[in-house]
Amino acid sequence: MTTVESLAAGTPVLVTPVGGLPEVVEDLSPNLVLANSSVPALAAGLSDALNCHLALPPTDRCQAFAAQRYDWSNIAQRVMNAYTEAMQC
Amino acid sequence: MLTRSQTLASRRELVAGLIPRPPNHISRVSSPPPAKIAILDHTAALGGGEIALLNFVRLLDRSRYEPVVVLFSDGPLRDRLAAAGIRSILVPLSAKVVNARKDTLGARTLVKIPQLISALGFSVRLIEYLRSEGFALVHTNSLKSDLLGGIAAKIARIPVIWHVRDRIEADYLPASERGTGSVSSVGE
Repeated sequence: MTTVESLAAGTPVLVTPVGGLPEVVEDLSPNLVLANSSVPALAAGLSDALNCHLALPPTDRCQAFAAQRYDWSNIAQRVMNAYTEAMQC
Repeated sequence: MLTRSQTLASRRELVAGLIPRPPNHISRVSSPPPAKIAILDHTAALGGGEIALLNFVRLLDRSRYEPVVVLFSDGPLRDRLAAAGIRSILVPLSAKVVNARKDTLGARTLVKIPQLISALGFSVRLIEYLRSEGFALVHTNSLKSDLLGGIAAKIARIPVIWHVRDRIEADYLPASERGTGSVSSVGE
């Protein structure tokens, strides 16, 4: 939730490849997913991002991505698509 | 004196008058009734999954779907649903099962639970309810509702969607749930 809220506010998020986090951001930019969860990987990711060595999506793209993926009307539409698909099986 | 053509025309009118014309509301193309969807959740406390349920269920197209939220325990979600015009029903489950930790769930653990008989009684009541209402689809909104409600829906021969709100990882979910491959699932 924190990740999506940050994107909705226009701030890109670096995530470790753990749980559902990569799923949230990788379609916005694969650069946002760190190589692993080790201290060197975290340090390198933060350093590269802050020193402009890592291309990050701009504010408007982060906001548009969060709105398009996580707006409730879009989620409801995806749920209804799943209903249609399940009832056709 | 009527001519032959006038006679035929009057006969056609007479026959047409004898055949009842369909009323206007039948001649229009009627849309099918909305499909009844049972949305199952083990709790009515306002956790993340329940808040998400509240947000998407009120945006469902009511001309296509008639949602009924089936809760296994009472709580503030019921009032919120009522305020949004969404029907809910309570099918009570033992509090010990409702409050069991996610990582302890599974068939083996359920057998250990002293309230097994009440859990079986719950399942029978749920199956009967799902059958009696003629649901077209069961949508489970939590891990516990998937484990219990998913089985009930399968027995009632109703298709099931498991709304994945959990990480599918060995350190988090019981093997029985990670191995559930026979249901449709949506994640977000």
